[in-house]
Amino acid sequence: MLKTVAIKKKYGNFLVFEDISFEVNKGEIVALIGRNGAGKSTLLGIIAGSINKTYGHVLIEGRDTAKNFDLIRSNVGIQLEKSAFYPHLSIRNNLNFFSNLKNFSNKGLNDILEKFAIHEINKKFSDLSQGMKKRMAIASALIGDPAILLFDEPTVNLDPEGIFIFYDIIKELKSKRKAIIISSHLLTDISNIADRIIFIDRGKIIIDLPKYRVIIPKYVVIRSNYMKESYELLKNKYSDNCVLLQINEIKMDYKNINMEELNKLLVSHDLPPKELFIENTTLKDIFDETRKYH
Amino acid sequence: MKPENIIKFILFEIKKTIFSIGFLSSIILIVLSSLIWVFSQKIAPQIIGGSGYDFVFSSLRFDVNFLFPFLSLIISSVSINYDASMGIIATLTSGYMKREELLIGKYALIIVLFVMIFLTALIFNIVLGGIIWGFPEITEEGITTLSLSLFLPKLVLSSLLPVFSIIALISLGILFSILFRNIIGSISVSIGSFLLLDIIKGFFKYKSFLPTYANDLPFKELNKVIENNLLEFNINYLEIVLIPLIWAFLIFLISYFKIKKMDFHV
Repeated sequence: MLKTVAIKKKYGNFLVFEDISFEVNKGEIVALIGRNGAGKSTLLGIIAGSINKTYGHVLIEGRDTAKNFDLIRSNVGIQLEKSAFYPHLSIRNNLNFFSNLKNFSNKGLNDILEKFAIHEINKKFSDLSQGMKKRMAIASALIGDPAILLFDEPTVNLDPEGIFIFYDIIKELKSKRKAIIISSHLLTDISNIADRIIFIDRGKIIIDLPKYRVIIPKYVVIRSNYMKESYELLKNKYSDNCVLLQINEIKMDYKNINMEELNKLLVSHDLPPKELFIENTTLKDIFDETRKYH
Repeated sequence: MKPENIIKFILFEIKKTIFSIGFLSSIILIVLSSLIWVFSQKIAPQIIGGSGYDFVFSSLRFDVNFLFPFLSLIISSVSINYDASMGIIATLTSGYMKREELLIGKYALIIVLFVMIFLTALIFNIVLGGIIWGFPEITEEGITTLSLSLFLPKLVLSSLLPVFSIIALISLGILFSILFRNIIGSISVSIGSFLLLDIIKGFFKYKSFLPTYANDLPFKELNKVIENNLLEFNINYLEIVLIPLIWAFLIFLISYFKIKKMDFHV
């Protein structure tokens, strides 16, 4: 559906990234991960047309968008990192205008507003809370029912209800076979919904893999009211170097642990854990790991 | 390019702009300038002519020669960078509008706004002159019906001709609003360049038009000139029409290539 080929972006002599090539298929959710300043927003801006590329191609259904802006107009919806609408106009007037530019129906717009629980449609954009501005920005990406959706840090500033709504809508969009890119600087943020993860660091894609190959369980974490006793017990049962006592938790190497057995062991010694959960790889782990090879 | 999107954009922007502080300030400025002309007419009628006609045309002369060009340059110089500073251009260019659609839309918008400002000034001056000096003064007595029928087409023509110079100024203002991301910067450069533009061929050629007659001759004397067919409108179309349009086009091209290369961030 969407393909980027060898995209390069430079600001003067400063290279933001180069050789960015990837593909997003219909019904696929790709998480675009990278630190702040890695160029995620710039890359999404290039796909949506607000930012020029220095080199490379963006293809939609095999056709170059540089030669045909209508490909972007009819296929791409983007939620920019910071919501930017006419401040003195209401939600309704703002979204009506943008819908009008894409010949999107009023009914379609009302459905979107309903989905996002945006009820204060006559309120001025400048008077909205950060959370509501974000909801509106996400809602605007759906205008025109585009086949490709780009979300830039969608959950930042979003209230918990908004986050749930967003994830529900993403699932619905996936079921409608939309190609979706979600950028974030937090791996945990989107790891649950993404199918594939692309990491950008130091101006290059350093990982482009299915989620299950990137996000892997790393530790079993135990929080307990009996920390000292639990630690002693586990140290005796397992090898020393796989049990780490930290300030308020015990971390154990996931590879050596069967969670059920571990829980039974603690309970049988009257040391029931308060919390027992798996901690996945973090963004930092992945960066540290990839740095060894780059 | 989608012309219907440009029209939608212009209509939306007009609705939004006519209630904006910038547009209302322009109207207030026009009204204030007319009131100053009323005051001048009252305290020094011998200088301006003393009739209702003289007020209307003196006031319009000032608007056409100074206020409209000045306002067109200032308003157009913040037309793109103001929206860009709020991130709206980034939103618009993200799949909604092509940059050239945006550029043409802004261009046409400012021209439409100036037509509105011009009509407001024209109507306001006539109404104000009518109220103060009496409507017969500016409708029947000043110029005979016969003379008026000869004079009016030329008057309308010479009122429209400044539009070409204003188009050149709008072009320049839009270029400034693309080149300078900072609004204060673009306004300052516009004011500076407004003072220097007289030395560039073609920009201010309309100054030799309609208003000169209003200023040089009281209108009742002008009647005699018209009746005797002595009045000549020496319109040099090359200087008045073509040169400003060439300037406008060249500057528009620079704006076009510049905006194509620009990145719009939020």
